[in-house]
Amino acid sequence: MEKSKINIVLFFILLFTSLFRITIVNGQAPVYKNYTVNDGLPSQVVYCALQDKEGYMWFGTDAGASRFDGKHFQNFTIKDGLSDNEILKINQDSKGRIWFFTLNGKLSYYFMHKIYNSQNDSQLSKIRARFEFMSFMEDSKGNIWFGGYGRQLLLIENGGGVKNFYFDSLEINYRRAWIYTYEFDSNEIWIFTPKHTFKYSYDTISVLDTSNFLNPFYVNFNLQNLRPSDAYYFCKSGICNLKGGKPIKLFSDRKVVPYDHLKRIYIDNMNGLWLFTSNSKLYYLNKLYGNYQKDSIDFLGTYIGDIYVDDEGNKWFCSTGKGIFRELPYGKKIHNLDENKIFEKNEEILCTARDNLGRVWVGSASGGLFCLDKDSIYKIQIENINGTIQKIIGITFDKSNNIWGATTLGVFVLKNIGDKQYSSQKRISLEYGNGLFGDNFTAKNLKFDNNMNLYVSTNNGVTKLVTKFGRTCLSFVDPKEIPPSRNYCLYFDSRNNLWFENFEHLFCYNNKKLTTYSYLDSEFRCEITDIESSFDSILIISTYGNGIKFLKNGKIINSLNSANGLAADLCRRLFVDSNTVYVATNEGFSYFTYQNNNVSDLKTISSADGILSNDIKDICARGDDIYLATSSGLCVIDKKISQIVATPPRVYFTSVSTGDSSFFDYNNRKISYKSDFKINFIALAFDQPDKVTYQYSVGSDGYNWIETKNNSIDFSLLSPGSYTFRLRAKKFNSDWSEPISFNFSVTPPFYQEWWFRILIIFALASVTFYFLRLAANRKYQKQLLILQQNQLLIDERTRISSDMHDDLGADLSNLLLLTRLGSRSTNLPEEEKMQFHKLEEYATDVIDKVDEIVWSLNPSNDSINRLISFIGIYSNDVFQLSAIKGSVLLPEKIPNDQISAAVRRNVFLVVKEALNNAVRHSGATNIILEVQLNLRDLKIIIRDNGHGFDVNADELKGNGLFNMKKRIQELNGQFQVESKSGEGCTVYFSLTV
Amino acid sequence: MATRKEKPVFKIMLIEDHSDFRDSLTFLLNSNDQFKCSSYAKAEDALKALEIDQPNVIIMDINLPGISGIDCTRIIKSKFPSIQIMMCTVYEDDSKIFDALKAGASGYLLKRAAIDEIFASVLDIYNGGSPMTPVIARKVVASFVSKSEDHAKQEILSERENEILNLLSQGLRIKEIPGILFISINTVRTHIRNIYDKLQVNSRVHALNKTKYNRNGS
Repeated sequence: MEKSKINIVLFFILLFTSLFRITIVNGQAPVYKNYTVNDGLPSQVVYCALQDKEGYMWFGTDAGASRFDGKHFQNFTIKDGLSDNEILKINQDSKGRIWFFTLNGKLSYYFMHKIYNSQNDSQLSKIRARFEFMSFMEDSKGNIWFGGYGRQLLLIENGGGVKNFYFDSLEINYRRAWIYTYEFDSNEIWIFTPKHTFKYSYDTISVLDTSNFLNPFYVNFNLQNLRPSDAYYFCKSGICNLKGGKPIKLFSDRKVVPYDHLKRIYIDNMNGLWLFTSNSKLYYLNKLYGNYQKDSIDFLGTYIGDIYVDDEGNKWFCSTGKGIFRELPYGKKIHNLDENKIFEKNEEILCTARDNLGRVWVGSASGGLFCLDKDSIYKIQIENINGTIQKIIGITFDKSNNIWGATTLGVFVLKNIGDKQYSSQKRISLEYGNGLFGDNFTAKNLKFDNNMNLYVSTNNGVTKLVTKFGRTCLSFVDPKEIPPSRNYCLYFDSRNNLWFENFEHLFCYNNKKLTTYSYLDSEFRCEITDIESSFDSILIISTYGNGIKFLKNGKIINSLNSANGLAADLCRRLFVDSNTVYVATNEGFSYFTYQNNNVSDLKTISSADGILSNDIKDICARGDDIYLATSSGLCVIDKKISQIVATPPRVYFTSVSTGDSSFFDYNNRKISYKSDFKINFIALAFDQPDKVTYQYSVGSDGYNWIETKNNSIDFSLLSPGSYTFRLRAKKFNSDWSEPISFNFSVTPPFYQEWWFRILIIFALASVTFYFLRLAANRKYQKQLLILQQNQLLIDERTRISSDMHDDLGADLSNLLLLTRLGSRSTNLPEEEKMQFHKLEEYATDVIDKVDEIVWSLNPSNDSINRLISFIGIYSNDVFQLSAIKGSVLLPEKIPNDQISAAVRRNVFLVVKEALNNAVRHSGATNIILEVQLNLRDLKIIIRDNGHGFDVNADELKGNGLFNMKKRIQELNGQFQVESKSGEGCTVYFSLTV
Repeated sequence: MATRKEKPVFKIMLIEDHSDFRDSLTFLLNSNDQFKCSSYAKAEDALKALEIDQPNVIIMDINLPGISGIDCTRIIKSKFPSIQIMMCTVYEDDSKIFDALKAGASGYLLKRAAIDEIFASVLDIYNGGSPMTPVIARKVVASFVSKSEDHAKQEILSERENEILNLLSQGLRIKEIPGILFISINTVRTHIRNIYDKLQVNSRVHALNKTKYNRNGS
């Protein structure tokens, strides 16, 4: 009894202490990305920000200007042409010039990769500035008005003229007086000064009475022109909109905004009004005259000098000392509760669960139990046990909404006592057996079965909440039924089957019956971390290394892993909300729709999307909010985050470089085939620039997109030709941008140039021609040599025949004549006369033979005509000498065509042989020699009426027919003998001469 | 010598560079009472002696050193058309024979000819005959064919002359022609002479020299 009293007292004490700890805070906590010199900023003292028309962010610092493309800061200083390194304000005109207002008052501007100043710009050289400029307005005619401290106004006309106005009528106290301009209409510019308002119209300045609405502070006045004739300003009477020369008061509640201290106003592109005060506080008014939204935004005490909201919705805060802070854009709700009034810095959250009222509870490693109601957070601190922090590993709720927790030091319960109030923790003991109890044990998980019996998994097995020995305690389920081994996850399906695993197998236990799914070990291959079931009763099992498995009727029917798009294969916890399955992994989380065993709409979100950490311990969801328990804190994320479609990024080629030189005029550039070629580009994305994806294509036609994450492409050894380089980009949540492109061509090596090819062809032709000529020349020389040799031969033949003809012939003729004279001598004895006769015959014979030799030698006889004539003469002579009647038939017309000496000689010798055969051996009385000539086909027939002979007989060889045939065949002619005994003989042969 | 005056004696001039043959032939010709032969080794010498010797027939070797036999023939014929020139050659088939005939020679003599033949040939030519071989005949035919193409109105051969020429060109001998055409051998010779003449007429030299012929002749 005493014990229970003490318990009650303790309970109340604890209850009060817990109640004191509960705090309510605003759930919205912005996330900032801080850019410092470490990221490339020239200085952490940043005065101003501007997004230019191309989309680049410009920042003015005390160490020059900086242009930011989402990845890199490109810095400009006086070395690049800036007139001063202290850049107080940056403005862009409609021509695209980016004007830098510097502390020394000298103007400079950036245009097309170059900075212009008074040294290189004739307009700027005409400007005489006393102090720095502070206001900028471009009127509808394109004239630019620069208001400066020191009573000066500068007008740079659209046509190029420069006008300096000095309001020296202002008293000396106004030396640092401000000047703002306002376009009343296209012909009238109002000039606000601390003392008067002036009107500039048609080159004349006159005083304008604006005292009825413009009541400026002496020192503090600020006017921002939003568009022509539409400006916002503040004065003593409040914050006003000046439209068409008429003021509309927007805000005058000094209690909320101490605008006595206002220094500057800024209207962002979403009509948000930002107020800068002299006491370093920053105020934000939404929708201009809407509700007061924000108190001072505290960047750890740093003064915010300027704010700019870019077209992505990022808010850029320029701090003087801590660099730039970027707040994530609107519509993107990620609340990283890593550092808060409730959460400790980087508090490790281990579990999260939803109670029956739809509230989300999270448990931390430091024993914090947080309840996230719709717009508030409660915290219940779980007491340490003997000075040791209880790490809350699991939470579950009974029907009474009592909170049951599993920690590293046991199990506790917090009784719901209504109205968001809970009793202090009550610890549940574990009965080890035989009445032995212990409070300190490691509980891994806890679940209620369908009959609301609590089961807790421990290092030594599954326990069940029972009443033993009169006390409520945990007791091991009969070890005969469930093996007493280490056990982490538990799950009760709709049939009240208990599913669990023990690092070895998956088990199913019901009604004292245990089923072991050891045959699935090879499917899981590793520890099972969590078990849930889909609304259609398919078991969803997460593994610590092998993704997710879907089990039905003891069979794996589906699986999901990183290869299919799951955040990681090391899955920690599952959360199922109707047909949506959430998976916590060590590399972010995934969620997907699971229906009819079909996985769809799988989305994976990681720290790249802005969540605190990838190391997610547990996950749960409520409506569109997803709650992530991470090792760095709690993260609440809008489920629609991945559905927000952003506008595609603007893509630019920044430079193109070959070898050592880089250039901006890259279009239609010719690049040597040898040089490396690098194209640098950027897609402007400030929110998650690392997730920008590029696609490029290189080719003359068609789009063959190649994907890259890099900002540059290197080409080397491109084959010669014309190319079009196309590029497009997308943010992680946008479509592809319109492709941008430029052309370039790779010049071929000289040996592939057309002129070289022509040269080669020409050279080849020349060489070929030369060799052909050489060959022809040689052939000609050869022919000439043959001709010369032939001529020499002919000459020699001519000489020999001439010699024989003239000398030998004459000698022989004389010999014959003398012989005949001798034989005529009457006083010679008969015997000697006979000798003379023999001599005469002999001489005649010699002369005939010489005659033949001379004939065949003499080249002038190498014609058909000569041959046939000679045959005619010869045969006549033969017939005359013999008693045979011979007749010679010659063709009527014989051409004087040349024939070779061989033909002439052989034909004659064959005729001679045939004639002699006929005359001497045939015994013929009549011989006919017939010569036929058809063009060059010569046919000679020798026919006798002698006794003939057998052509096939052996004697053929004896009478020279063989030789005759051979001679004619050598001349490619045909030789034939026709003869029969007693029927004469015909020899005929034909050949082409 | 006195007794031989009864017979008509005509003068023969032999122009032959082969001295032995010249001597032999001179000896042979002079051994015949009808002939009186003078001989020269060179055409130049012969031309000088032409006026003095006044030969009726000249036997001219075709191949002469210096002025050739053909040129010499032309010269002699231009000066003394009445002198009959007989070319002397070793071989019948001498291409130069035709050239000589064109130059004005009336016939030719084979050096190997039998002694009787030599005498007959000399007499023959003196009497107006002309020997012709198939080779020569062929050339003559060709010559007339080409000329009749060139000069259609030029003098062309008569039918009989053509007949004889064709026979000759087919290889027949002059002696065989009378048997075929049933004319005397002298008629054949006359025809042949006429053919030669017609051949020469076509040479301009001869036409030019016709006046000289008339002045100097007979």
